[in-house]
Amino acid sequence: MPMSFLTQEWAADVRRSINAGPDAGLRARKADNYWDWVDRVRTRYRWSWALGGQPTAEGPQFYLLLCWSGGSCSSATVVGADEAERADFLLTASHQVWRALFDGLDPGRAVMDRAIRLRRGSVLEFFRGLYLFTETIASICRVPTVFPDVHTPNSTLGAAGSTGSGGFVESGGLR
Amino acid sequence: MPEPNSSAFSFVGDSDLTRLAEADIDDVLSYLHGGLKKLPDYGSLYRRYLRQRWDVYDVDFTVDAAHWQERLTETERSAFLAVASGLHHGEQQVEEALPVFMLGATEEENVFIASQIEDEARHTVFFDRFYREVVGVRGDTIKDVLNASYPHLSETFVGPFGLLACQAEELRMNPHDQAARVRYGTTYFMWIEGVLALSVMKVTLTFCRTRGVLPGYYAGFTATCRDEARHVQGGMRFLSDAVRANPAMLAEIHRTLRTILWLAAAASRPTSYEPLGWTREGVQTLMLTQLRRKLGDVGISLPLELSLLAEQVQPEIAGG
Repeated sequence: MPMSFLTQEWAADVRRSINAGPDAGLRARKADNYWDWVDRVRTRYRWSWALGGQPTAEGPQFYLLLCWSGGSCSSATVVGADEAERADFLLTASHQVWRALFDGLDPGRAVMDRAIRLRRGSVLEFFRGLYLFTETIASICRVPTVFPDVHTPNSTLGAAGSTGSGGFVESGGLR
Repeated sequence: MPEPNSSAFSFVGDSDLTRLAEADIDDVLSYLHGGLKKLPDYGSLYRRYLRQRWDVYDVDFTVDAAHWQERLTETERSAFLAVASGLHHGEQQVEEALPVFMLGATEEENVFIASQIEDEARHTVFFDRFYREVVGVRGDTIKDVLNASYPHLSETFVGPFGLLACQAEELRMNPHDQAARVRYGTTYFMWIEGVLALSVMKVTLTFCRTRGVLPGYYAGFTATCRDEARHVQGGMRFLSDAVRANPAMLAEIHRTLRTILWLAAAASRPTSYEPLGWTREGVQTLMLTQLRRKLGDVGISLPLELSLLAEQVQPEIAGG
């Protein structure tokens, strides 16, 4: 059953998706050398990320706090701003960007186009784990997720906001 | 690579767009490295910009469009796009990232940086025209055309360009942070322009010259390469001056290269260079040569640890 974006239940699904990683079909789309790099980084990764977003377009900001140790995502919880400040890297994306990511926006492009912003933490250190980060975002966006259905007239994601599915719009779970 | 004589230097330096179509890319690269040994000041580079500036709408792509359909094979077209799309997006990315570098610069530097921003905008238009008029991409805006060529890029393209975007953001917050400026300059001027762009220029221009195809692309992109010579010379002057003023900045260059080279060891999809007349090993050697020449010409050392890391660079990342 799809969970609501940025809730504790959703974060538990996210952690399972991250640790399961992409299936064989998805892995086959990219070179072995690339996955070797990601696996090599993951094995030694010890940092934590706070990924900020809003469940609704005009709602409050929450953070998905992801901690890494022992080669896996050791915890995934939804926290407020105070706790997010303790993460090694703090990143944010707008509600619309999160929706676009769930609808297929390439996470790497989102970083390059400043749609995902690194707000705190060493840039050089963060980029030493970049492809682990982008693959993690991809794993997050494979989790079946519902967003509260807020109609925003200026939204570029009008189609997603107009399905009228009982107050929620479902995204993700397709990739 | 042999050093050209002074007449070759003046031919590259003084030719207009039409005559530049006869230049060899090796002469343009030698022209660039010859300048690195002397490291011209920003005023000289700006005067050279005024003399060398070319009109992107003077490039005639009529013959290129015919060659694209009739002379290039499907395999060659595919390989060419896989490489050229990195430049298409790269020019737009650096155009967007450069203005912030002016905030902490001297007025002399800013006059030159302003000219460089105009160059990068012109290069963006050059690729926009190439994709529309030769490749046949349609779109109402420059962004539309960029979106259409994005699928040709690999996922690892974001490595250096995402890094530059974040470093630009870091500079925006602290424009006078000299260490941040040096890290930014290492990514932009040394790696993206000095290694990636020049390597891909050599690959695509050699292909065009050898096969006798795409004359509009050849002329415009050779002129682009000459523009890059100014950018790399200005950028390496900045790094060289920064290290001379504060030797601790050398560690910032090395830290940045450590991240760049670490990222460059991953390539998410293979690029077929063979249809363009190159091997993977040849492109990797070309990239490492570009890196070592830039560093060597301005007296910046590369520690053994980074030299070993450089050996792991994947040639695919040159083309995006």
